[in-house]
Amino acid sequence: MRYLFIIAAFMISPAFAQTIAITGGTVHTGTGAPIENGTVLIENGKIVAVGMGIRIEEDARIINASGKHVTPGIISSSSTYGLSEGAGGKYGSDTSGNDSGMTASFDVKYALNSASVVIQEGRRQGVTRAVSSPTSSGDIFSGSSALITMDNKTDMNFAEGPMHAKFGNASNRAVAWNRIRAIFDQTLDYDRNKSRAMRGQSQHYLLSFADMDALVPVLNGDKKLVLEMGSEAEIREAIQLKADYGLDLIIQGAQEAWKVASELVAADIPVIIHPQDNLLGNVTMAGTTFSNAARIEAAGVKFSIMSGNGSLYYGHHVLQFAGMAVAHGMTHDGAIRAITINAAEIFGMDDVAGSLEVGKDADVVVWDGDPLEVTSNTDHVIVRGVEYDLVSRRTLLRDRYLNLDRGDHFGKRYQGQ
Amino acid sequence: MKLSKAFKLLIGVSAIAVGTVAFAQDTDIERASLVVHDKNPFPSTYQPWPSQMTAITNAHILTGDGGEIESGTVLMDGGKIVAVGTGVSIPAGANVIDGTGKWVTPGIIDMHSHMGIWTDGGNDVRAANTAGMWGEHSVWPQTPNFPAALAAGVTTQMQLPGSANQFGGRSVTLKMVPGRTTEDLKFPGAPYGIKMACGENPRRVHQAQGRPSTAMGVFYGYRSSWIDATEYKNSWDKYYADYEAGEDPKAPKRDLKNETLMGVLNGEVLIEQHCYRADEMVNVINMSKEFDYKVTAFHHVVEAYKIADILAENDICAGMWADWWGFKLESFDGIDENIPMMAAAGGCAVVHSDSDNGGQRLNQEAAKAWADGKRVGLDFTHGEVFQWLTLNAAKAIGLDDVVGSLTAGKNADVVIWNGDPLSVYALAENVFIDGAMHYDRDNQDNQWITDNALGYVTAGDHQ
Repeated sequence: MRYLFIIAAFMISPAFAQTIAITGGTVHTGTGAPIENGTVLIENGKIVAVGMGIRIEEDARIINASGKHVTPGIISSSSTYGLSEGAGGKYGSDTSGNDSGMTASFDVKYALNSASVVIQEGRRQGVTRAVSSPTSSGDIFSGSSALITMDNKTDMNFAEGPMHAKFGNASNRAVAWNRIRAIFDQTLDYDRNKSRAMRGQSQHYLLSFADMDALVPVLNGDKKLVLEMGSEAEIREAIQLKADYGLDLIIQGAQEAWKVASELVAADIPVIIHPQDNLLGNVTMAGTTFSNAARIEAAGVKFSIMSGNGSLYYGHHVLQFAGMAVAHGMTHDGAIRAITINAAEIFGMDDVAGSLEVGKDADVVVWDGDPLEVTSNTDHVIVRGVEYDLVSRRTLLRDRYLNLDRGDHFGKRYQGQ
Repeated sequence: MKLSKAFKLLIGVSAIAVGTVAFAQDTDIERASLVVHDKNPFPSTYQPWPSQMTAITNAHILTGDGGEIESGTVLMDGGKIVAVGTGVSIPAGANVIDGTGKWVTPGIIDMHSHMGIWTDGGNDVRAANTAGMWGEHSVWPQTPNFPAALAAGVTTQMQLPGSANQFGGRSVTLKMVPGRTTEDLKFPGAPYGIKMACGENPRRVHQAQGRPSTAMGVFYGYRSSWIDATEYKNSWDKYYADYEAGEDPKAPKRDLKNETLMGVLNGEVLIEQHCYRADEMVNVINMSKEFDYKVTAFHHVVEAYKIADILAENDICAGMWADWWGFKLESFDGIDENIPMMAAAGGCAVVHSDSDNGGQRLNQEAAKAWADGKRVGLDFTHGEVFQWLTLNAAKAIGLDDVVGSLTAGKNADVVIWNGDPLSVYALAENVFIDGAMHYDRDNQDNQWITDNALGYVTAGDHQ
């Protein structure tokens, strides 16, 4: 048995051992201004050099990126990668604890499908890491997400994700805040008096012990909390909630963050926004605007860009939305950071991902044009040092039907060849 | 059962409700008056807004019908396009806009929007066939999202009921202009469409209602409805023929549902059918031949690429998203090259939104599809790509003789972009509808705010 493992390790090791040099491109490192004609050197799955005048070993595989753009792998701040494989069917979607009785205790990590073709597709489009998040549980707390690599590997769940909560699942705002605070107070009480609770001598709690167990690390400040909401009034109340409970808080949605930008900076709260969130859907959140990104960038708020609810299959749309943010006043560099290093920092994965820096995992994408431009596409996608073919189930379908001459595309099978 | 020309004309006159019509040849018989139901009981009250003769010069022009002029002039006057080209002489008194560095296109036409209808739910699931419902009666003309679409270069939208039912109801085509009533926004002369829906939506929704919930059940429902509609049409045709022959027939009982479907059978109401899968679309095409009507357009055709040749052969437009897929089983085979593959087959490819957000970046969606096609050897010019947003969309809603291209005599629906519109960075700077400037990015006084948004937002906030 041990012998088999050694063989397996040997068989996959060349891919990791390979030295790849990406040369000649415009390198967006995620940390500073772009480097023209720069090189990114990858060895053993890690970035070992970035810049100009880098010596390249003879046996290195060269990717000529001249005239092209090189970025860190794109990070999807809100997705269901690995959890949803086309809606419909009992096991088509594993994103929600709804109807299970679980809220905060729901954790998506057990359901991750490393064979997902949706991951394969996202990777083809340049997404190399993602927050794979629970959707609504029906109550405020949705459960924990997983931080994943987009390489269809069984060890893709590389870190625990934060706790997620959806403000909109309460019947109204007053209920939401009262309920969140009551749950927090009860969780603290439960945590202090756990043995009594186990003996059945506790007060009646709103959530189950399992749900409260999942919230204890949030209240200890050991686990991040992503709170989904967005109006100015809501954000102000969230800032207070963070102060009162010592939370490590992230706000997702944050449509009116621009109205509370300096307070967010002071409270050290990062936000996740959808730059296209500009419609007046809710009259208590009338400040939705395309220029949210540009305004909070100018104010110094740390934020990442997500592809938005309802587009969970399109993690790569963050590129388009980042481009739209630029069209509405954001800086181009800032927009690239908002879909790479900022997301990495917000979710605590910046030790391994998010920028082209020495020592980080080699998540690197080569683009055939400006990465934020809608007409650009990926030319090379590298995740954890391994380059993947730009093939997905969808490209196979495309290739099958590119020529509608029946004899040509189905013929081999029909003719028994 | 041929009717005389004059008689047809009479039936066609819209303003006659249940009126009295005397027939000269029948003076010796006292007959009931002829029953003719008004086909346009909610007529448009839209009037073009004031405009002045305007010439946009030195602009990069995409004509909307496939053409491209790298530096030319668009001249409009009296709400119409007067001339487009390189050697256009500008009459004295024209307002001249220097289009240097700008791109000019026809207004974008969104063939699939629920913007004005969703506020009312959009789906009335009391029956699988609600063809007698008219979408315009659910439209809210103060929908705050209309101005956002306008600011994105959209000048015309077909508003549709939802896809819960086999027959959802009539469409209504709107101009993106302010108005007090829905009729103020209604595109004059636009044909009606009937929204039909295949697939998972009518199956899922009506399963909950205890009605047929399989694809075969849906087709059973369709065909039963067409049988009823054919009988209804025959009864009216017979009524008019008998009346013309001098008899005193009794008019059939009016039925709004069958009246809409009779409109389809008479070639007056367009079929606008939500359908994802190739196999289902072919079933629909066969059904249209069985009952002798024409499908004008399929909507949400994520599998157009599998039958692009069949759609082209049958002259059916395909409304498509650039890259939506996977959000339900029937969309799982959606691919990024769908639109260019439909276009490459010679078909009527249209980029549509079905989304209040997506409806604000249709130009970007076309650009994505263009780039994805190019990667597999299907290249199109800028002009050809823009046709997916304009002339083809106009065809899909039956307005290609009035809008959709910068052609002399057509309505002057024109957009000035600050750069190549096939870019994520492009923004519409000015939008003209019938020659009147309805949006100016640089002038808040020329930015529409609906009643609903008034007091909550200032001009430009959402754009």
